Amino acid sequence: MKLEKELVAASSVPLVLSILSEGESYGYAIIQRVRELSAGKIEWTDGMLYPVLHWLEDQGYVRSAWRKSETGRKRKYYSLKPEGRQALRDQKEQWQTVNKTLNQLWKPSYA
Amino acid sequence: MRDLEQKIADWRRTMAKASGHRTELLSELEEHLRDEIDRLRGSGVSTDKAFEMAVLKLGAAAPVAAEFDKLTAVPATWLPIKIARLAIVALALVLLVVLVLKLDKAGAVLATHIVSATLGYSMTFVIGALGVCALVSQWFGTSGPTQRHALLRSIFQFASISAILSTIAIVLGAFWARDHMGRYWDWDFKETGGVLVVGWTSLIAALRWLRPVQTTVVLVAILGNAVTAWAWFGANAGGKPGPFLAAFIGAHLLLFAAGLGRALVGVTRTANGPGS
Repeated sequence: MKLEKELVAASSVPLVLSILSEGESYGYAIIQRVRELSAGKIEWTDGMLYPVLHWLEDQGYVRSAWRKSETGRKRKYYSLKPEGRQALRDQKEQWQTVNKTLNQLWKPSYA
Repeated sequence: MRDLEQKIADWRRTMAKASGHRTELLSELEEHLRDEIDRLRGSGVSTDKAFEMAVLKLGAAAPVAAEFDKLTAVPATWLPIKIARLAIVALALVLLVVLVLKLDKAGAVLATHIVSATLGYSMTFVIGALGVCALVSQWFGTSGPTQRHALLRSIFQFASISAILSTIAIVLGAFWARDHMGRYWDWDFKETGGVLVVGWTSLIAALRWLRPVQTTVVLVAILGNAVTAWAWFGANAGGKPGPFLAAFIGAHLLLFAAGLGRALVGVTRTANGPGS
């Protein structure tokens, strides 16, 4: 079962921030990581990630730098700024609240 | 291989048209496309097929561009910013009327100096006030990233205009001093204050390119209120601020210290990881 488009869109910011909290990364690797972690259930149209990354940069959550990659081509790497870590903490709290609420509602007795 | 390069170049041209020629975004998308082609070819897919599959997966240009436009649209203006803009426009209009009325009496150089200095210096107070709003709303969690982003843009815009106006005021003031005091410059309180204001607003404007953390801009803006208050009213009082001015400067220094302290606590928490 694949996730609905709206849920995928809503989760894009916490997902990207969380992946970048593991260390700097680039667009393609971020998508591969999401695919791997979600066992393919979270499927982004690859191009849609970049507006999110640029928005995060614009908000001051991430910084970016072009560097030569192992392939010899130039690649844009993103890393988290302190504001990004704070935003991640906020996102984490919000998603955990949603998760906790749903878990309580979906206890076996309610099913 | 040559064929693939041609295909990528054609694809990039199509994407460029649809995405409004955002060069950096295009370069990122091209790099992504190449990574995916490499991966597919590595798993045994032919070059032509790999290109087709990678393009499909990356998505069409128009939806990506539309998404980009949506996310980077100018954020909704926050109420303090609206008030700040109105205040500046109102002050500019009042000063313009004063300029026209006093032109004959004061002369063009002095009248323009007074108007540009008043507007330039006043704008630093507006910047400082926005900084205070940002800090307080950050403490109480009443502003989100969109508001903070709009606020920073306004601070940078106002700082640039203020730096230009204050520079004009200083230059005209020097010419006036030559005609009426027999010298261009003497580093008196007013002149030193003028240089301080220009330096401070230029620093804030320059932060736009240095891209520091948002809190840094906010704190520099708040400290700017204390600097300008001293430079303007303190200079007029001969460097000896009265109780009201001292209280105003002191309150801003306290806010600055509190903001800095809170930011440092945040940095410590950050160093302990996202879960802290």
